[in-house]
Amino acid sequence: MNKYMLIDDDDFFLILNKDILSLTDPDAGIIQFNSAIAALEWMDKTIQDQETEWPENILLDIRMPFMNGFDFLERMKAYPLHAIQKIKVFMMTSSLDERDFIKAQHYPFVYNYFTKPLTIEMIADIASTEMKDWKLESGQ
Amino acid sequence: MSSRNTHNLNNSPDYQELKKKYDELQLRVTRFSVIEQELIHARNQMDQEVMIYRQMQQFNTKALEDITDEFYTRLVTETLLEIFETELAFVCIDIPNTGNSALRHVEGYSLNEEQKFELHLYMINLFTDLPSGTLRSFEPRPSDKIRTILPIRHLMVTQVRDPQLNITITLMGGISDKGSPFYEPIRKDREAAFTVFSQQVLTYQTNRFKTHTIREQFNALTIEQKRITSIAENFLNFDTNPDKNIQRMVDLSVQLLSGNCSVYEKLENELIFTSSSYSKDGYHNNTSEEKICYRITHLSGRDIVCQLITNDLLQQHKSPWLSQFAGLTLLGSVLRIDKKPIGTLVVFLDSSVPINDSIFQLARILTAAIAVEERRKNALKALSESEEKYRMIFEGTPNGIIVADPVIQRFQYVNRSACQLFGYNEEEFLNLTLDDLHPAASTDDVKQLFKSLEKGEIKVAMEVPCIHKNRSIFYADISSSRISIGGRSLLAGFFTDVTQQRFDQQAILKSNIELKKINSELDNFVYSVSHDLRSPLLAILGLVQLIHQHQQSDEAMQKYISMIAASATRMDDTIKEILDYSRNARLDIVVSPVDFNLLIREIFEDVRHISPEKITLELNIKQDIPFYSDSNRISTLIKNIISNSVKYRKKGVNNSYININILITPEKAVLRFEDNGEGIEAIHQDRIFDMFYRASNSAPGTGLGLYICKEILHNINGTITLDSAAGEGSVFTVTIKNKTN
Repeated sequence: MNKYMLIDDDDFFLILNKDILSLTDPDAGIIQFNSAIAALEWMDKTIQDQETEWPENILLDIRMPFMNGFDFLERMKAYPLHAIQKIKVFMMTSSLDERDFIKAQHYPFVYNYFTKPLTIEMIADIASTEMKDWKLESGQ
Repeated sequence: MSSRNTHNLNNSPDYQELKKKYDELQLRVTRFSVIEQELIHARNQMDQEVMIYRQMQQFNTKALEDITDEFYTRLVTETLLEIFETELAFVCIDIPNTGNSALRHVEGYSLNEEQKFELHLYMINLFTDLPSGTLRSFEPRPSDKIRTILPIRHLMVTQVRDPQLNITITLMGGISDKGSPFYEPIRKDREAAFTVFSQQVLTYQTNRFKTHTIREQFNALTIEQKRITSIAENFLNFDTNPDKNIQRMVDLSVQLLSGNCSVYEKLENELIFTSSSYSKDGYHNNTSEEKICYRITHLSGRDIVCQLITNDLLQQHKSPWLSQFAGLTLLGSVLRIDKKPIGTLVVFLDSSVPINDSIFQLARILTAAIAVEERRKNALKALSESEEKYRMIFEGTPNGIIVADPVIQRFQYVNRSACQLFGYNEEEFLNLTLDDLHPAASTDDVKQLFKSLEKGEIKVAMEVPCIHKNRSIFYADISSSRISIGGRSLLAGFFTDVTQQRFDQQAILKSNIELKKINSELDNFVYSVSHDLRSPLLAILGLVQLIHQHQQSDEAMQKYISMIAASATRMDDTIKEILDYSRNARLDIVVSPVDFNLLIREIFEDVRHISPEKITLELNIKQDIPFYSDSNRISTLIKNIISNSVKYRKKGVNNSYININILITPEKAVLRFEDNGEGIEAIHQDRIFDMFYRASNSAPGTGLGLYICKEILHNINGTITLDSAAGEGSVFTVTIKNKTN
């Protein structure tokens, strides 16, 4: 069973992403947050004894108030390496700004960069993406 | 009685005795008479001798006086006549190096110079091979040559010589044919005295000669001294004008070389200098020889000189040379500068000038002196050219130049630009000090800068504050360099007024900062707007994709379609807000009376439906006078604040309210918006007026509303403040200027 975490401040996208995911993969486990802060709170809470609950895919919106997608990625680095090594992050954005794309490539646990909306093809892409073996480079 | 006595006496034995005694007495008397006569004669002779020597003594006395040669010779002859009682006397004195001008004088007879000369020759012949002091006394035969000159019957002549000085004295005394009644031949006994006298004359003559020689030498020395003094003065009294000095050298060459005239010819520019005695008129001295010189100098002299100079052979003359032209002697000397001939000095020598080394030496010195002046002339020309050049640069440059003496701490030179820069005239400027040019507060810094400049640590001291005469401050970039003027090491400062540049630069910096801010805002704006505009659109695309799926229920379809509608509305709202922003930024302010009551009620009616729950509005306006401002902008401002209150109300409650209190004064309107909504957390309060900043996610929004409020207030002279507590509500207080006039 593929587990997905959806993070987007826009409720509409949470709804339609969940719907399309359910349509494509009826067995998918989906957990959703309308802010990165809420998502982190959940991860902090679950890391101790329920790490298995952690999704292997995170669909992360970039532009969000208070804490944006990149802030979230930075905070993720604080988690134990073995924990984040099991996660594939996919950036979801409505922006066409290339700087965001370049910035996203600095994170080894970001596997792909998608422009909204989430499509069936993207879900297939996500599902077929192999987990990489990576280490954090010093300074990151 | 006598006769009687005679008779008586004749026969007396006494008589005989007496007669005998008488005769004896008679004889004795006679004898005495002879002795007496001899005595008288001897006495006379003695008297004469005494007379001679007395006269000689007189001669001595007179001869010792400072008398002319003519007077001396006359004295000699007169003395001869007197002493030796001759009718004629002749003296002839041969002095070496005087040639024909030997002293001759005849007394007692008139002879012309030629006759005197012949007489002189005759005398010399008489004594050929005879020793000095020989005396000859004789009566010449009628055929004797002397009788053709002088009617002489008897003569006594002697000749004495001084072998050292080679002076020969010939003295003659003679008796003429006239046959004076008292004539007697020259007595033998006078011969000794004659010889003595001739010796005496010789002695005096040698003395006179020596005295004369010494005096002449002394005079010559005096003249030479004067000449040397004159040369020295001429050499020393240099004029600042080299041409004048050259002219003087040319004049001097005539003086020093005893020339008639001189010419100095320059090869290149045909300038002729001639000695001054001929430069004015040629008839200064009217001798024919000098006329020729004048003609040569002024008419053909130039050609001659040119010919002399251009002649290759003559050009090779290293030293002055002599040459002949038109019977005149020319002393030429080529003038060289750096071994290159540039001219010739030619002096036309007087025929009597002895040719010796010293004239060449003098010519060399004069040529060298002229060469020095020529060199100086070139140097002066070059100097004046370069001076002119530097003056042009110094005065012409827009940079202010100040030259200071660091030792005495005074300004030495300032150019026009520096005067203009600081507002002082040159005289005022030179009395200033460094402290007068820079503000007291920065004097130390300025001195430090100058030190750094001097050490070469910096090339330019940037934007140094300076004080104008009118006390205004301006800024100058200053560079400096060490210069040496007249052996003093001075410091030149170059001032460039950068006040305007500084002002412009600051303006540019300021506008750059603004531009950067605007650019960053624009960038942020584009990023945000594209996101906010695209998001609903992309949502619609996603929803359409879902609708396309076949197994959708009607319920789901209805949900998606309403979501599409909501997305479209969101997009529209965003576009409207952007338009609001753009209107505020672009449109001119239109002042009109503002009806807050109507305005607020219309806005509230428009936005209240956002909330499904009930919201109440309470509006209190205290207004005695009209309020003037831009209605459209104020409308947008109030709409944004009220719609925020509605959107961020406490959800699920029915007691939400908005209280608005407005106070209008002649100066301003104060609007207080109070709600009991969700409030704003303290950490967001500083940033809520920033563009696209969203403090809450509880309702969709662009983050533009309050930013637009702030911008509007900026344009219509107002302010906005916030007082809020999370969970309790917010109070926005807006103050807007009343534009009554």
